[in-house]
Parts: sequence; C-alpha cells; structure tokens
Amino acid sequence: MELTTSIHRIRRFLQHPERLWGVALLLALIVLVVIPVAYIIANSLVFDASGPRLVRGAQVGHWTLFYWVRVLFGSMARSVFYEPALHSLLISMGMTVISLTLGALLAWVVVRTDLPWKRFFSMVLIIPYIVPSWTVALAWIMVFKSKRFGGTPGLLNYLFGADVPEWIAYGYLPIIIALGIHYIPYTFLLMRGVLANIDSRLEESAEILGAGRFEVLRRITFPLALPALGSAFILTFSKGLGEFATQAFLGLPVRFYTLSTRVYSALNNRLFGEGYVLSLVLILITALMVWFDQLMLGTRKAFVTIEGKGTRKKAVALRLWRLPMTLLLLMFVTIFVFGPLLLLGWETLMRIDGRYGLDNLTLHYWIGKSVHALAEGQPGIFRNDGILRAIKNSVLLAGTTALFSGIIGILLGYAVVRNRGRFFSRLLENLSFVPYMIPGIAFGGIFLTMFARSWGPLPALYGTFSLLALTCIIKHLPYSSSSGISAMHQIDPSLEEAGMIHGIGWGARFVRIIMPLTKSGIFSAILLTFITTMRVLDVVVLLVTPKTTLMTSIIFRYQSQEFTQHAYAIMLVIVFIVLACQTIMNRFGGKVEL
Amino acid sequence: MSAIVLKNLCKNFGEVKAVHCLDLQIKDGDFLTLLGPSGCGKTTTLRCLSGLEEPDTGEIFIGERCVFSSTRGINILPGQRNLGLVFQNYALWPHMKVAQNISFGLRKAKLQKSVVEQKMAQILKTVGLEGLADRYPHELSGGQQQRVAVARMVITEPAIFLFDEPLSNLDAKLRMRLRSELKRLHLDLGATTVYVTHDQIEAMALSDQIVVMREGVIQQAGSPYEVYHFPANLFVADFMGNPETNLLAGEIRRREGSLAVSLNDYPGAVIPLTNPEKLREGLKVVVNIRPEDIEISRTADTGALRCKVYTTQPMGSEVIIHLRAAENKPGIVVKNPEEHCLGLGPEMTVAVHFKRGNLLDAGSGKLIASFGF
Repeated sequence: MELTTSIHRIRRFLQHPERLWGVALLLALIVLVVIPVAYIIANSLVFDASGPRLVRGAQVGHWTLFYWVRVLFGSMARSVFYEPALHSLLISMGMTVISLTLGALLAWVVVRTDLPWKRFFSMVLIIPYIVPSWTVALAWIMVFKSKRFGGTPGLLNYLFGADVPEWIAYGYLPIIIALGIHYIPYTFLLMRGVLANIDSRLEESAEILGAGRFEVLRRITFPLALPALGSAFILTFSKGLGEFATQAFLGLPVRFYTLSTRVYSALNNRLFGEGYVLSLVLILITALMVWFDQLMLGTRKAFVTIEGKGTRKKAVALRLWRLPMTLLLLMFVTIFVFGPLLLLGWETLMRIDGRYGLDNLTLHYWIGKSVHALAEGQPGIFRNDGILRAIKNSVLLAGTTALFSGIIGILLGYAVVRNRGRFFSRLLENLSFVPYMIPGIAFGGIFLTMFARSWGPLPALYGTFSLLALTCIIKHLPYSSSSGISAMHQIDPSLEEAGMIHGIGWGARFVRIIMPLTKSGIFSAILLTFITTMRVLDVVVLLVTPKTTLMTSIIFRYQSQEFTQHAYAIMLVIVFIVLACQTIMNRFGGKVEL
Repeated sequence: MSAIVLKNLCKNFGEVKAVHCLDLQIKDGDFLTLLGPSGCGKTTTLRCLSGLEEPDTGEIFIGERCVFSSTRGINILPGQRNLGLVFQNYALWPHMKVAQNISFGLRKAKLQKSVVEQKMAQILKTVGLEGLADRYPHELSGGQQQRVAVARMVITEPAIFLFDEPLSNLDAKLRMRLRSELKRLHLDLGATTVYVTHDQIEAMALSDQIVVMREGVIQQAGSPYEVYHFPANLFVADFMGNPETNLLAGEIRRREGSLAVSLNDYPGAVIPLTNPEKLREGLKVVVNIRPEDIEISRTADTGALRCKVYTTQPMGSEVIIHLRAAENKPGIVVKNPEEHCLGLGPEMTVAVHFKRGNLLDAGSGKLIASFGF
C-alpha cells in the first residue's frame, strides 16, 4: 500500500512537465550558483600556492584561517582592507546622493510638469546608463590628466599650462562624479515609475482642501514616494559598491584602491586566498544591503499606492521657471550626456595625444595602416586584426549570452510562475537572484577559480569562449529570470489550460501558445542582454586570454599602455553598437534594464 | 452524453480546505449549477472535474469511466476526458484569429480541410458570428468573444460542457441575452452541463439542478424551486433572493390554545402555522419571508402588524419598500407590484401581512417547517 501510493504520487508528478522543468532548473542553479559560492568560501579557508611563501610550514590545501586574519586583522589590513572599504563606502554614498537627488528631480520635472520636449529629454537622459559606465571616466581623464602624473597632458593642462591638482584628476571626486552621472538615469527611471504610479487623485484631494503646490509636494507626494526613494537609495548604493571599471581607471594610476579594485589586483597577482576573502566581504556587504531593502520594503508596503490609476495628466505649470529649467536641462544634457562622447571622439582624431590643435587631426587610429612612430606601429582599429577579433568576440559573446539568457529566462519564468505555491518555485526565484548580490569582479573571480580545473568529465574551461559565455549568462540570470517571470505573468494560465482541455501536449502548447505570446517581451530582454554584455568589463576582466580578448578588456589594457586613441576609438564602437540596439528596442517599446 | 459522479472529493490549498468531502451525482443531460459566494469551492470543484486541478483524495466518474481516483492512482489528462470548458475570461488565444481559435481543437483529429471548413461555417452560424472568422479576439466585443469561446468548446463535440462564470464579464443587458442563448444551446445539444456562478438569478434561470456551496461543503442540492422556496438552512435562505430575504428572530409560543410564532422585534405580527405538530413551545426560530411574500395595505384591519415606511424604491414593475416598526429594530423589506404602492411615501403607516415563509431553527440554522404554501 505504502509503495503503491508513492508510485502513484511519482506518476502523478511526472504528468506535469512544468514541475519536471522546475526541478531540472533547480538542480542546474544549485550546480552553477550555490556550489561556486560554497567553493569560494571553502577556498578562502585553505592555503593557496602563496601559503608556503608567507607562512612557515604551511602546506597547500590545508585548512587555515590565515587569509581571513591577514586581511581583517594583519599588519596589511589597513591598506588591503580598511582603506579600500572606506573608499568604497564613501564613493557609493557620494555617487548615490548625486544620482538620486538629480534623478528624482529630473523624474519629477519630466513626469509632473509642463516642461517642453519631454519625450526628447526622456530618451536622451537614459543614454549615460546605456553606454559603458566608464565613459565619463575616460572623458574625465582626457580633460584633467596632467604631465605630473606621467604621460601626456590633458585638455586643461594643454590650454592653461597649469598642473591640475591630483584630487581633481583622480580619486574620490572624479569617481563619485563619473559614477553619479552614470547612475542618474537609473534613479531617474526608478523614480519616474514611482511618480507615474502615485494616484494623482491623492494630490488633487489635498489641492481641493486648499493646499498649495509646494505643500502638496512636501506633504503628499514626497511622503508617498519616500519608501521607493529609500529603496532606490539602497539599490544604487549596492550597485556602486560593485562598480569596478571607473574605480580602476580613475584610481589605479594613483594607487587609490577600493574593495573591487583590491579584489582585482589580488586575484590578478595570484593572491587567491586574499582575493577570496575580499570577494566574500564584498558579497556579504552587498547581500546585506539587498536584504535590508527587502526587509524595509516588506514593512513599508502598507502605504505605497502603486495601485492608483493616476488618471490625471494635468501637469504642474512651471510658469516663470519653464524657460530657465529647460535651458538648465539642455545644458546638463550637452555637458554630461553628449560632452563625454564628443571628447572621446576628439581624442581618437588626435595624431599625437595631448596636442589639441586642428593641425593634429587624423583618421589614422580608425583606418590607418601601421606607422612605426605611432602607438608602436599598431594600425587603426578597422585594419587591426587583434582589435577586429576582439570586436568579433564581443559581438559573439553578447549574442550568445543574450540568446541563452532569453531562452533560460522564459523557461525559468515558466517554471516559477506555473509552480507558484510549490516550495521549489520560491527557491528557484530566489536562487536565480543570487548573482545580483555578487559584484561582477568577485563573480568573475569565482568562476575563474571554479573552472580553472576539470570536474569529472567536464574539462578545464579557463581560456575558452565557453567560460566567458557561461559566466556572463549566469551573472545575467537575475535579469533573465525577472523578465521571464514578468513575461509569463502577462499570460493568463487559462490560455494554456484551454489548450490542455483540447488535448494539446506540453511541447505544442509551449510552441503554439506560450512562445508567440511572450516573444515581444523576450525579444526586448534579448536586446537588453546584448547591450549589457557588450559593455561588460568587471565580470570578464579576469577571465579573458589573448585568444578570447574582448573590446572592453582591450580598452582596459590599452588605457594602461597609453594607446589612448585606440582605446577611445574602440569605446566609441561599443557606444555605437549599444545605442543602435537601444534605438531598435525603443521601436519595439522595450525598457531599460535596472 | 454522460452522467457524472464525484465521490468524496477533497482538495486543500495549504491550510485552506477548498473542497471538503464532496459527493455529487449529475444526471445524463442535466444542467447543473454550482452556486455560492467567492471562495466557496465551486470553481475548484469544476477544475477538479476538468482535470486542470488534481484533487487530494476522492474519485471522479464520467459515464462509466473513472477519470480520477486517488487510491487507484488514476488521473486522466484534461484533453482525454472528452469535455469542453468556457473560461471566465474566455481564454481566447490573442495571437490567433477567430477561425484558428475555434479550429485549434480539431487539429488532433486530422480532418480534411473541407470538413473543418464546413464544421466551422456551421458553428459560426450557430453562435451568430458569421463573417467574423478573420478577426482577432481583441477586435471583437465582449459578447462576441464569449461566443467564440462557446464555439471553440462546442466544435469538438464533447460529452460534457463546463462553464466557469462565463457571463460575469458582460454588462447586464448582454448577460440576459446570452443566458437565453446558452439555455437554448443546452436544449439543442443536450450535453451534460456543469455551470459555475455566484449569480443566483443566473443559476435559477438556467439550471435543472442547483448545488449551493459554502466553504467547500454542499449546503443544498435541488431544483431552483426547492432551493429558493425551501432553503435547507440559514445560509441558503440568506444567499438566495434579491432583494435580500427577511430573516426575523422569533419564538414558538402558545397563543389562545394553539402554537404560533411570535417575533421578537414585531410583537404584533401574526404568523399562521399550518402543520404545528413538529414544533414545540419555547423553540427559538428564525422566520424567513421573501419580500414578495409580504403584502402591505393602507387600510388597517385590526390586529395586523403596523409599520412605518422608511423608503420606497420604484423599480418599474415593482416597488421595494423598506419598513421599520421602530428605531433600532431590524427593518422589513417588501417587494410589491407597482399598482399596489401608488402614492406610498416615507413616514406613512401601513398594515403588514405575511403570506408564506419558512421557519428555521435558530440554533442549528436548519429548515424545520414552512407556512402558507
């Protein structure tokens, strides 16, 4: 009897393909997400190859707390951990304050006032978030670099001859500004959504009771938006902690470290134990922030009025402020959105770096043949086999990642949504979110360690394209799964059930009903993934080899080798590709990924 | 055509007992309605029958065939149960045209194209959708979408029709019209039909048999007449009827030698008892009197209950009148033909006469006697 009932239960379970899918995906996620993290934790607790050199009698592979003690309490702790941690936290704080203040302000102006050219501003203001995060950083370097730090003079140095102080050229200030600008669109989009969803009848009720415009803003709108504002703060802050490229470009030249650049230099110098400990600390901080956010959102949900119809489109009249506000916005857009791109473009046209005259202009770095005197004989990027291969690799990597992420997203969405209420549905959703909490540089480090060796039948993947693709796909999982889940939520279960009633099998239902109905959502998710992967550096920087080099990793290398024009030209190729993708996506009504 | 038997059906969602030990038999060719407020388990029962939901325990038979049995480990897939289902939101596939939606269920049958087209033309005519085959669902009105859903169900000629609140998304006028069409469809095709609704008027208008459910348990199964006039318990009495029925607390007392009901809040009321033998003195009861079973008149005969008019609401052919004997006492709702109430207004005093009703046990809520029938 016992046996037959369990056989029945198994048979009935097998009748549901969505459950089988759920369990299969769960196993895959455990292998690709849980095990790597556990592996890193384990590896931070054993001696690596540097062990015998640092500790007398240490044997590689033996258990030890040495690395944890060294990083957190040792004589090096200050420079290895505490200073970088302080830098990371202050930078995140600064850039969050900048981006949130400006982003929220812009959102309010665009959503709620009678500002002209709203569509134009909405589109343009998103650009800094679409282009790679270190665009502003590179432009900043070009303007403020100085002979004193070695190398060629920047624009200011050239024009005025005076040396720019180091605190302006590198370190806190430029990193905070560059990241702040990059994240303005992020907070802008978050807050735009929130403001658009606040039921305007709530504000109108206050107006009817005699409240002035400013009072309504202060006593109704702001308190209603506050929980979302808090959440945006935490999310932006945690993203800032994980940023790598900007901090590398604007910090490493003057030995200004943050946690993420520390992780990079530790792992790059094969100080694995130290690198793992720093990675784990970084992951822990980020995870705590995200957890805190969930906690706060959970308790505050009670008064978030996201349900509102928001029927009113009566805009707040700016009156006298309208013209100055418009000019201010135009100025902002010119300086911070188009300015950096124009500067990058100019740099690529300079025959000799640092001479800003018209006589110095050339297309050599785009299409020129090898000239021994320039950039050690490197030909222009469109004649340069190494760079062309990197372009091909990047496009291939972005394409592969996007395609697989799209497929995995819809399968995950299907498994999660159709199994709602079962234990593994929740688990699946939460597990797919884990990579979000792991900063890109640490994530790359984890996969580097994990797949540098072979696992049973699986060969060592280091140096292969597959490893790059796998890492990018898994790192992208949180976005894939959330877009898959929201796409599946759009489909009422009854649409599939109507097929079941007609005796249509699972495969046919998936192909004939689910896929056609989710294709627009999946298409824009695929394009988004393509854009994101096109500009990724932190996740892949530790994993690329000369054979699998990417556009972003070449920029990173060339920037430090002072092949500036090449680096900036490749940068503009990336910008061109991602903006083109974004334009296509706007056509199809897609959104920007947050 | 098939009879349906549900035996000891149970379905829990976590802690919630959606359907609890339900036994039900549906005669071949019957139109049965599962009626109840939201969350009463009616839709879950229907979904268990269709195979979209898997019961925890119990057995389901369609005709001779067992389609589900927890003990024998049988669970036939929905597509193999030979039934059709119209969903509340119609569940039309938005990316397919009307013709594709309707013919989708036929693709397994591998019929010749001409046969399919012939069937399609016939169905479209039956449901009144000629000329709309090339439209997409979103290009149709709500009523037309509903017809497409019905056509999609009917075209495969299933033995059983299932309807899950098919009319609740439509406006009142259209609902009336489609109600009549659904009834005619059942008469013409004769398939055993199970219909789920929370609308008691719909249930009464359509069904051979009504099953009233509450919290996963059947409260009463019977013909519309039985359920309306002889509610098995307080819940059914209260649930059925619009405007809502009068439930007045009272007690059986001996008056002038014979047993009679005296109402707690309306001491002047007289309720004649035709068969008092089952009743005993002192029994606490609830009297259920439908608004249309109360007559009011302005000429006061002696001894009649007298009440003040609170409001009058003319509905066209009828007037709904709320009465009050005094402040702080539950009112009485009356529905009388319009000609009866001309010139009636608030604060006027009227005489009230209870024509017929039921007595329900105040403790258990069960029906114990009726009067006036």
